Amino acid sequence: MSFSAHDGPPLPATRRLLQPDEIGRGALWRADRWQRATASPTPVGPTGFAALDAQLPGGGWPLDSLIELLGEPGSGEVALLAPLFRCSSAASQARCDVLWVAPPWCPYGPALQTLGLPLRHFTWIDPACPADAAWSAEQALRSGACAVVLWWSREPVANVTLRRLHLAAQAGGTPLFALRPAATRAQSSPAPLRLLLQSLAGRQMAVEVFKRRGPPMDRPLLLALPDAPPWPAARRHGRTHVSPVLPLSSHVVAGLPSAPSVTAGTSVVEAGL
Amino acid sequence: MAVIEQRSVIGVNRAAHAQGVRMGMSQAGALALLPSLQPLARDLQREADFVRSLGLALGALTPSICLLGEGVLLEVHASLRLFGGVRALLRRATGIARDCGARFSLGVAPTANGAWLLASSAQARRRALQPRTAERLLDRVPLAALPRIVELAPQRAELLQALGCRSVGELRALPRAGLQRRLGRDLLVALDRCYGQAGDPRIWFAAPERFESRLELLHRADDAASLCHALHGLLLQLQGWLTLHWRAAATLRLSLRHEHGRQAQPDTQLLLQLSTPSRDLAQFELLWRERLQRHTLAAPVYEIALSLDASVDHAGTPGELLPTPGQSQRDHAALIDRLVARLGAQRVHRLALVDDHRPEHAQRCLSPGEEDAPDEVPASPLPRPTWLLSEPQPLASDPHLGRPIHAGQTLRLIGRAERIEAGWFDGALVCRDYHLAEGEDHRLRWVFRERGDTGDAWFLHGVFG
Repeated sequence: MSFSAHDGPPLPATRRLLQPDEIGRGALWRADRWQRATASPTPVGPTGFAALDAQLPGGGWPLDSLIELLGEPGSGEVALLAPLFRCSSAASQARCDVLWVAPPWCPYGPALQTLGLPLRHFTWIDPACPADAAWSAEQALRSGACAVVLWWSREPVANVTLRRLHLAAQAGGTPLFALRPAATRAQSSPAPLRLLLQSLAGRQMAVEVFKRRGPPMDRPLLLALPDAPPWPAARRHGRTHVSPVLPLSSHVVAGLPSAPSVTAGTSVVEAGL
Repeated sequence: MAVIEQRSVIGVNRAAHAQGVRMGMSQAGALALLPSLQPLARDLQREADFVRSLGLALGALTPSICLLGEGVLLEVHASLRLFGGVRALLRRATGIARDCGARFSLGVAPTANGAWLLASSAQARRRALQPRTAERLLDRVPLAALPRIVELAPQRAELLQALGCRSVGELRALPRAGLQRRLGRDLLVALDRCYGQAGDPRIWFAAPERFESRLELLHRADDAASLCHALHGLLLQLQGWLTLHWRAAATLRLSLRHEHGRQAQPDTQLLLQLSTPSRDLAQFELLWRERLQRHTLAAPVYEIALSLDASVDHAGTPGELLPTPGQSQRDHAALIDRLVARLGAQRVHRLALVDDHRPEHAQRCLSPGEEDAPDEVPASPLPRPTWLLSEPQPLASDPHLGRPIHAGQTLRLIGRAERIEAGWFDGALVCRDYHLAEGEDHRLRWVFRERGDTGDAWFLHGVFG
């Protein structure tokens, strides 16, 4: 390929060759640098973690694209997205509904309430087959009625489907978080942003942004997940790391008989050591 | 195929026309020309029904509708601004009439009779907005179209032809007194109404109180696509009805009639409930398409009937320059309807909290249209898992330490136990000690041990996300 001016009739604007003087003016993006701001910058939403914001192009979750979060269910993905849920369910937002498509198990309302996600604005669906799940996600994205769509996909997904969903996300201006197994990391994907999540000891998680429009990350990011309720270990010992394994006797509540006792009314007894 | 009335052909389809059958031929002549011709007797009742359904569908454009024997008159003066001018309005009217299956010609004039006369004439230009243009066009209408606007006795019709005039303009140039004496007063009054020189009171069509419409299919329908195609005409009528009555549909019922033959099948009844009542034709079509694709037909369908079971008052959607939160809520309701139509109501869930200490009773699933109570339940001060398993999953236990094992990993218990003991009052007693447990992959689980006689068995009840 040469950059010399060609002699034939002018090519249409979308297919013309780059002129040499354009190369230095942001027409090219060098993969070892951050992509520069374009004429219409992608809207972003804060992740709630300053360290993660610094690692994402634009400084947050892109709000109109497909974002892949790879990892086993339970690696901290919901806790990672909780600040975004809280941000989008704020009263000032025109769109505040959150849709979960095909979560691995039934979402638990009290936990969502603790995360700050109002159940009024929460819908989840468990489609019968992966095709229905992808269809539902696409409908939700195209309608533009949701603030965030989460889509769990355990089966392999064709690239065509992912591309379609990415275009739907762009058309509807809604972010789609695809939660897929970590094994899909080696496969190519049209998602502009891909993250690998891994949970670590002490309610921490490692986040590796292995695909982004920017230089590659040299090492994964360590994030401490803020959890709204006081975790027993942290509260008791005032430490951030996990408490040592408790002896078996701790499961028996001190002083209480082990036979089933019918209590008057409901009670939650915290069994202390 | 040809329609026969009093032994003469009054209508032919395209195939018969290509073979030389023309309107006005005698039945015998047409059959001699084309032995395979299927003669159909004219059915005035069905014609009237069709005009009525067309009028109902056009009710989406204006409330002032007048049904004639072979056509529909619309008074559109008040609707011009709403639909963006006369061209846009005519485009809509043409679309509705075509979708209803009509073959039609359209005339526009400042007077009702004039529009009707222009539509009936075979002229190339049939649309006039200004009285002067209308007068010029009407003058050119051939006299053969006049019986459309006025009933003439046979000898007077003969006289009209024998006058030597070819167009309405030439007729009007003749002395009025002589015309009135020879052709009768009715003809002159009808002509005056055409030109706006006499009043023309009309009785407007009143839509029935209850919407119910049926359609006999030309061919049997085996699949959702052909049913959706047939349903389109009925939905157009529904839209017109809803507009005329200022209402929005909440529940629709579609009856599919199967063959009443040797193997008679009962009718299939399909219900469509909208979470937000709507008047939007595109939304109806989309929902019915998804609903019909999900449904497996028991037998071919020969007739469909659509009825409106429930509706609410709806004054229409105001035009807005900027999107408002209400728009987003409507979008969301439409999305939920679409998901329900394809996936079924049992697969679309919303959650509501219940004030109960037992984890499996602390929430309930709401059906899509159900209103939930506001979140008055206080948040739990202790960690709760993001996901709750529908049934607690029994876990193996480490024989030495007594720790639970999940997915091949021995779980470490974190922190203190949380005792939950409740449910003596409704027979679902729960006595459990819940623990946070961390596996070797550092993912957190919520496990519990039954207290009591059941032994030291561990159960997995939730997973943290």
